[in-house]
Amino acid sequence: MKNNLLNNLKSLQAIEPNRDYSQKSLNLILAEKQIIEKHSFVFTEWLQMHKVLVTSGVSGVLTLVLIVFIALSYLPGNKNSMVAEANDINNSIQIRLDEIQYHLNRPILVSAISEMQNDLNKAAEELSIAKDLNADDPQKLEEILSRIKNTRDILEKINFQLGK
Amino acid sequence: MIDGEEKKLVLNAINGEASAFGSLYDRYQSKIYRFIYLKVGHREEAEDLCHQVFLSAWQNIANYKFKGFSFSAWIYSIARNKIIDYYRTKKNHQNVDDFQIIIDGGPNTDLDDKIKKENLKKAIAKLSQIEQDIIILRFVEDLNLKEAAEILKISEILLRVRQHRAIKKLGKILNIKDEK
Repeated sequence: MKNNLLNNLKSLQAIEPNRDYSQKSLNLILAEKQIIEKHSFVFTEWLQMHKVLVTSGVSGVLTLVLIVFIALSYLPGNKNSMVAEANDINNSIQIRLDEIQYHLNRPILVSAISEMQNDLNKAAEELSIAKDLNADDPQKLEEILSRIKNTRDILEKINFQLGK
Repeated sequence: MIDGEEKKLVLNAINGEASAFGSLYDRYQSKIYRFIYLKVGHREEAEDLCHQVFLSAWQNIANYKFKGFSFSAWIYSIARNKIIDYYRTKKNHQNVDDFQIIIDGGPNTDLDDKIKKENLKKAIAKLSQIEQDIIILRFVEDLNLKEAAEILKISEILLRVRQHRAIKKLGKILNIKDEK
Protein backbone atom coordinates (compact mmCIF):
# COMPACT_ATOMS: atom_id res chain seq x y z
CA MET A 1 0.00 0.00 0.00
CA LYS A 2 2.82 2.34 0.88
CA ASN A 3 4.58 1.65 -2.42
CA ASN A 4 1.35 2.44 -4.23
CA LEU A 5 1.09 5.73 -2.34
CA LEU A 6 4.69 6.64 -3.12
CA ASN A 7 4.18 5.82 -6.81
CA ASN A 8 1.05 7.94 -6.88
CA LEU A 9 2.90 10.84 -5.27
CA LYS A 10 5.65 10.60 -7.85
CA SER A 11 3.08 10.65 -10.64
CA LEU A 12 2.14 14.20 -9.55
CA GLN A 13 5.35 15.27 -11.31
CA ALA A 14 3.16 15.37 -14.39
CA ILE A 15 1.70 18.66 -13.13
CA GLU A 16 3.17 21.35 -15.33
CA PRO A 17 2.49 25.04 -15.83
CA ASN A 18 0.97 26.29 -19.04
CA ARG A 19 3.74 26.87 -21.61
CA ASP A 20 2.39 30.19 -22.88
CA TYR A 21 2.07 31.51 -19.36
CA SER A 22 5.63 30.41 -18.56
CA GLN A 23 7.11 32.25 -21.54
CA LYS A 24 5.09 35.42 -20.90
CA SER A 25 6.02 35.33 -17.23
CA LEU A 26 9.73 35.13 -18.01
CA ASN A 27 9.54 37.96 -20.57
CA LEU A 28 7.74 40.19 -18.06
CA ILE A 29 10.23 39.41 -15.32
CA LEU A 30 13.24 40.24 -17.46
CA ALA A 31 11.59 43.38 -18.83
CA GLU A 32 10.52 44.70 -15.42
CA LYS A 33 13.99 44.75 -13.98
CA GLN A 34 15.30 46.57 -17.03
CA ILE A 35 12.59 49.25 -16.66
CA ILE A 36 13.32 49.75 -12.96
CA GLU A 37 17.06 50.01 -13.61
CA LYS A 38 16.52 52.40 -16.53
CA HIS A 39 14.29 54.74 -14.54
CA SER A 40 16.48 54.52 -11.49
CA PHE A 41 19.34 55.61 -13.73
CA VAL A 42 17.22 58.40 -15.26
CA PHE A 43 16.13 59.69 -11.85
CA THR A 44 19.69 59.62 -10.53
CA GLU A 45 20.84 61.46 -13.66
CA TRP A 46 18.03 64.03 -13.17
CA LEU A 47 19.14 64.53 -9.61
CA GLN A 48 22.76 64.97 -10.74
CA MET A 49 21.69 67.55 -13.34
CA HIS A 50 19.71 69.45 -10.75
CA LYS A 51 22.41 69.10 -8.13
CA VAL A 52 22.78 72.86 -7.96
CA LEU A 53 19.08 73.26 -7.29
CA VAL A 54 19.07 70.52 -4.68
CA THR A 55 22.27 71.72 -2.99
CA SER A 56 21.21 75.36 -2.95
CA GLY A 57 17.82 74.28 -1.67
CA VAL A 58 19.41 72.42 1.19
CA SER A 59 21.73 75.32 2.02
CA GLY A 60 18.82 77.73 1.77
CA VAL A 61 16.77 75.71 4.21
CA LEU A 62 19.57 75.56 6.72
CA THR A 63 20.34 79.30 6.38
CA LEU A 64 16.71 80.25 6.72
CA VAL A 65 16.27 78.10 9.78
CA LEU A 66 19.35 79.69 11.31
CA ILE A 67 18.03 83.22 10.58
CA VAL A 68 14.65 82.34 12.00
CA PHE A 69 16.30 80.77 15.02
CA ILE A 70 18.34 83.92 15.74
CA ALA A 71 15.46 86.28 14.99
CA LEU A 72 13.10 84.37 17.21
CA SER A 73 15.53 84.45 20.10
CA TYR A 74 15.06 88.27 20.25
CA LEU A 75 11.30 88.20 20.08
CA PRO A 76 9.08 88.56 23.14
CA GLY A 77 6.04 86.41 23.69
CA ASN A 78 5.98 82.81 22.47
CA LYS A 79 9.64 82.92 21.47
CA ASN A 80 10.72 79.82 23.43
CA SER A 81 8.24 77.54 21.73
CA MET A 82 9.04 78.96 18.27
CA VAL A 83 12.76 78.61 18.87
CA ALA A 84 12.30 74.98 19.92
CA GLU A 85 10.11 74.34 16.92
CA ALA A 86 12.63 75.85 14.50
CA ASN A 87 15.35 73.68 16.03
CA ASP A 88 13.23 70.55 15.67
CA ILE A 89 12.46 71.33 12.04
CA ASN A 90 16.14 71.81 11.29
CA ASN A 91 17.03 68.45 12.84
CA SER A 92 14.24 66.59 11.11
CA ILE A 93 15.14 68.04 7.70
CA GLN A 94 18.73 66.90 8.18
CA ILE A 95 17.55 63.39 9.04
CA ARG A 96 15.23 63.28 6.01
CA LEU A 97 18.02 64.37 3.67
CA ASP A 98 20.34 61.70 5.05
CA GLU A 99 17.69 59.03 4.57
CA ILE A 100 16.98 60.16 1.00
CA GLN A 101 20.68 59.96 0.22
CA TYR A 102 20.72 56.37 1.53
CA HIS A 103 17.63 55.33 -0.43
CA LEU A 104 18.88 56.73 -3.74
CA ASN A 105 21.25 53.78 -4.02
CA ARG A 106 18.37 51.33 -4.10
CA PRO A 107 16.09 50.46 -7.05
CA ILE A 108 13.15 52.86 -7.25
CA LEU A 109 9.66 51.95 -8.37
CA VAL A 110 8.83 53.31 -11.80
CA SER A 111 5.51 54.76 -10.62
CA ALA A 112 7.16 56.69 -7.81
CA ILE A 113 9.79 58.51 -9.90
CA SER A 114 7.66 61.18 -11.62
CA GLU A 115 5.80 61.85 -8.39
CA MET A 116 9.11 62.36 -6.57
CA GLN A 117 10.25 64.77 -9.28
CA ASN A 118 7.08 66.82 -8.81
CA ASP A 119 7.56 66.79 -5.05
CA LEU A 120 11.13 68.03 -5.36
CA ASN A 121 9.96 70.90 -7.54
CA LYS A 122 7.33 71.78 -4.94
CA ALA A 123 9.93 71.68 -2.17
CA ALA A 124 12.17 74.01 -4.20
CA GLU A 125 9.24 76.38 -4.77
CA GLU A 126 8.43 76.54 -1.04
CA LEU A 127 12.05 77.40 -0.28
CA SER A 128 12.14 80.04 -3.00
CA ILE A 129 9.05 81.77 -1.58
CA ALA A 130 10.43 81.57 1.96
CA LYS A 131 13.73 83.08 0.85
CA ASP A 132 11.97 86.04 -0.77
CA LEU A 133 10.09 86.87 2.42
CA ASN A 134 11.64 89.45 4.72
CA ALA A 135 12.97 87.62 7.78
CA ASP A 136 13.37 90.94 9.63
CA ASP A 137 9.64 91.40 9.59
CA PRO A 138 8.23 89.57 12.65
CA GLN A 139 4.91 89.05 10.90
CA LYS A 140 6.62 87.20 8.04
CA LEU A 141 8.54 84.90 10.37
CA GLU A 142 5.59 82.65 10.98
CA GLU A 143 5.02 82.33 7.26
CA ILE A 144 8.71 81.49 6.73
CA LEU A 145 8.47 78.83 9.40
CA SER A 146 5.37 77.44 7.77
CA ARG A 147 7.08 77.24 4.35
CA ILE A 148 10.06 75.45 5.87
CA LYS A 149 7.70 72.97 7.54
CA ASN A 150 6.06 72.33 4.18
CA THR A 151 9.48 71.58 2.70
CA ARG A 152 10.20 69.15 5.52
CA ASP A 153 6.88 67.39 4.97
CA ILE A 154 7.56 67.05 1.26
CA LEU A 155 11.02 65.59 1.95
CA GLU A 156 9.41 63.17 4.39
CA LYS A 157 6.97 62.09 1.69
CA ILE A 158 9.83 61.51 -0.77
CA ASN A 159 11.72 59.55 1.85
CA PHE A 160 8.68 57.39 2.49
CA GLN A 161 8.27 56.67 -1.23
CA LEU A 162 11.92 55.74 -1.59
CA GLY A 163 11.73 53.52 1.41
CA LYS A 164 8.91 51.38 -0.04
CA MET B 1 25.11 20.92 -3.62
CA ILE B 2 25.41 23.07 -6.67
CA ASP B 3 26.72 21.53 -9.87
CA GLY B 4 29.33 23.30 -12.00
CA GLU B 5 27.02 24.23 -14.81
CA GLU B 6 24.41 25.67 -12.49
CA LYS B 7 27.06 27.58 -10.57
CA LYS B 8 28.19 29.20 -13.81
CA LEU B 9 24.60 30.15 -14.69
CA VAL B 10 24.06 31.64 -11.25
CA LEU B 11 27.27 33.68 -11.44
CA ASN B 12 26.30 35.00 -14.87
CA ALA B 13 22.82 35.82 -13.65
CA ILE B 14 24.30 37.70 -10.68
CA ASN B 15 26.29 39.71 -13.22
CA GLY B 16 23.02 40.65 -14.88
CA GLU B 17 22.99 38.20 -17.75
CA ALA B 18 19.31 37.72 -18.61
CA SER B 19 19.86 34.56 -20.66
CA ALA B 20 21.57 32.89 -17.67
CA PHE B 21 18.59 33.69 -15.50
CA GLY B 22 16.34 32.39 -18.28
CA SER B 23 18.16 29.04 -18.11
CA LEU B 24 17.71 28.91 -14.35
CA TYR B 25 14.05 29.76 -14.84
CA ASP B 26 13.68 26.84 -17.24
CA ARG B 27 15.35 24.53 -14.70
CA TYR B 28 13.21 25.45 -11.75
CA GLN B 29 9.97 26.89 -12.97
CA SER B 30 8.04 23.60 -13.24
CA LYS B 31 9.23 22.46 -9.82
CA ILE B 32 8.37 25.72 -8.12
CA TYR B 33 5.02 25.90 -9.89
CA ARG B 34 4.21 22.33 -8.82
CA PHE B 35 5.27 23.03 -5.26
CA ILE B 36 3.06 26.10 -5.07
CA TYR B 37 0.12 24.51 -6.89
CA LEU B 38 0.02 21.51 -4.57
CA LYS B 39 -0.06 23.88 -1.61
CA VAL B 40 -2.50 26.55 -2.76
CA GLY B 41 -4.68 24.30 -4.89
CA HIS B 42 -5.59 26.83 -7.56
CA ARG B 43 -3.92 27.12 -10.95
CA GLU B 44 -4.20 30.88 -11.53
CA GLU B 45 -3.04 31.71 -8.04
CA ALA B 46 -0.19 29.25 -8.40
CA GLU B 47 0.82 30.99 -11.64
CA ASP B 48 0.73 34.42 -9.98
CA LEU B 49 2.75 33.28 -7.00
CA CYS B 50 5.23 31.48 -9.23
CA HIS B 51 5.68 34.68 -11.23
CA GLN B 52 6.28 36.62 -8.00
CA VAL B 53 8.87 34.08 -6.85
CA PHE B 54 10.96 34.39 -9.99
CA LEU B 55 10.52 38.15 -10.17
CA SER B 56 11.79 38.40 -6.61
CA ALA B 57 14.65 36.03 -7.44
CA TRP B 58 15.71 38.10 -10.48
CA GLN B 59 15.47 41.39 -8.59
CA ASN B 60 17.47 40.08 -5.64
CA ILE B 61 19.90 37.73 -7.35
CA ALA B 62 22.75 40.10 -6.61
CA ASN B 63 22.20 39.29 -2.91
CA TYR B 64 22.59 35.53 -3.43
CA LYS B 65 25.87 34.11 -2.17
CA PHE B 66 27.32 30.61 -2.53
CA LYS B 67 27.86 30.17 1.18
CA GLY B 68 26.92 26.48 1.29
CA PHE B 69 23.31 27.36 0.52
CA SER B 70 22.35 26.01 -2.87
CA PHE B 71 20.47 28.03 -5.45
CA SER B 72 17.70 25.43 -5.28
CA ALA B 73 17.30 25.95 -1.53
CA TRP B 74 17.31 29.72 -2.05
CA ILE B 75 14.57 29.72 -4.64
CA TYR B 76 12.43 27.26 -2.68
CA SER B 77 12.84 29.55 0.36
CA ILE B 78 11.47 32.44 -1.66
CA ALA B 79 8.55 30.25 -2.73
CA ARG B 80 7.79 29.22 0.84
CA ASN B 81 7.86 32.84 1.98
CA LYS B 82 5.54 33.92 -0.83
CA ILE B 83 3.10 31.18 0.19
CA ILE B 84 3.22 32.33 3.82
CA ASP B 85 2.44 35.89 2.67
CA TYR B 86 -0.34 34.53 0.47
CA TYR B 87 -2.00 32.78 3.41
CA ARG B 88 -1.66 35.90 5.53
CA THR B 89 -3.65 37.97 3.05
CA LYS B 90 -6.10 35.28 2.06
CA LYS B 91 -9.02 34.96 4.49
CA ASN B 92 -9.61 31.28 3.97
CA HIS B 93 -7.12 28.60 3.30
CA GLN B 94 -7.33 26.83 -0.02
CA ASN B 95 -10.63 25.33 -0.92
CA VAL B 96 -9.90 21.72 -1.70
CA ASP B 97 -12.76 21.76 -4.17
CA ASP B 98 -10.77 24.25 -6.24
CA PHE B 99 -8.24 21.62 -7.17
CA GLN B 100 -8.33 21.20 -10.90
CA ILE B 101 -7.26 18.11 -12.71
CA ILE B 102 -4.38 19.62 -14.64
CA ILE B 103 -2.67 16.44 -15.68
CA ASP B 104 -3.02 16.13 -19.41
CA GLY B 105 -3.47 12.44 -19.78
CA GLY B 106 -5.10 12.63 -23.21
CA PRO B 107 -8.23 10.74 -24.24
CA ASN B 108 -6.87 7.32 -23.20
CA THR B 109 -6.05 8.25 -19.59
CA ASP B 110 -7.78 6.10 -17.06
CA LEU B 111 -10.56 8.07 -15.35
CA ASP B 112 -9.91 6.15 -12.14
CA ASP B 113 -6.32 7.31 -12.32
CA LYS B 114 -7.43 10.92 -12.60
CA ILE B 115 -9.79 10.55 -9.65
CA LYS B 116 -7.02 8.90 -7.58
CA LYS B 117 -4.70 11.84 -8.29
CA GLU B 118 -7.47 14.31 -7.45
CA ASN B 119 -8.05 12.58 -4.11
CA LEU B 120 -4.32 12.52 -3.46
CA LYS B 121 -4.05 16.27 -4.00
CA LYS B 122 -6.98 16.88 -1.68
CA ALA B 123 -5.39 14.63 0.94
CA ILE B 124 -2.10 16.55 0.73
CA ALA B 125 -4.07 19.75 1.30
CA LYS B 126 -5.27 18.37 4.64
CA LEU B 127 -1.72 18.06 5.98
CA SER B 128 0.04 20.81 7.94
CA GLN B 129 2.23 23.23 5.97
CA ILE B 130 5.48 21.54 6.97
CA GLU B 131 4.05 18.08 6.24
CA GLN B 132 2.97 19.26 2.79
CA ASP B 133 6.46 20.64 2.15
CA ILE B 134 8.05 17.35 3.15
CA ILE B 135 5.70 15.23 1.04
CA ILE B 136 6.10 17.45 -2.03
CA LEU B 137 9.88 17.87 -1.81
CA ARG B 138 10.74 14.28 -0.87
CA PHE B 139 8.12 12.24 -2.69
CA VAL B 140 6.84 14.36 -5.56
CA GLU B 141 10.02 16.21 -6.50
CA ASP B 142 12.20 13.29 -5.38
CA LEU B 143 14.79 15.44 -3.63
CA ASN B 144 17.25 13.59 -1.43
CA LEU B 145 17.31 14.00 2.35
CA LYS B 146 20.16 16.49 2.28
CA GLU B 147 18.56 18.77 -0.33
CA ALA B 148 15.15 18.69 1.34
CA ALA B 149 16.62 19.31 4.80
CA GLU B 150 18.52 22.32 3.47
CA ILE B 151 15.36 23.82 1.97
CA LEU B 152 13.31 23.17 5.10
CA LYS B 153 16.13 24.35 7.37
CA ILE B 154 15.94 21.28 9.58
CA SER B 155 18.37 18.43 10.27
CA GLU B 156 18.25 15.27 8.18
CA ILE B 157 17.44 13.25 11.31
CA LEU B 158 14.44 15.44 12.10
CA LEU B 159 13.37 15.27 8.48
CA ARG B 160 13.40 11.47 8.56
CA VAL B 161 11.14 11.46 11.61
CA ARG B 162 8.75 14.01 10.17
CA GLN B 163 8.53 12.41 6.75
CA HIS B 164 7.64 9.09 8.34
CA ARG B 165 4.83 10.79 10.24
CA ALA B 166 3.68 12.72 7.19
CA ILE B 167 3.44 9.61 5.01
CA LYS B 168 1.61 7.75 7.75
CA LYS B 169 -0.85 10.62 8.17
CA LEU B 170 -1.40 10.88 4.44
CA GLY B 171 -2.05 7.16 4.24
CA LYS B 172 -4.51 7.43 7.05
CA ILE B 173 -6.38 10.29 5.36
CA LEU B 174 -6.65 8.32 2.15
CA ASN B 175 -7.74 5.17 3.94
CA ILE B 176 -10.47 7.04 5.72
CA LYS B 177 -11.71 8.39 2.42
CA ASP B 178 -11.53 4.93 0.83
CA GLU B 179 -13.55 3.35 3.60
CA LYS B 180 -16.31 5.84 2.91
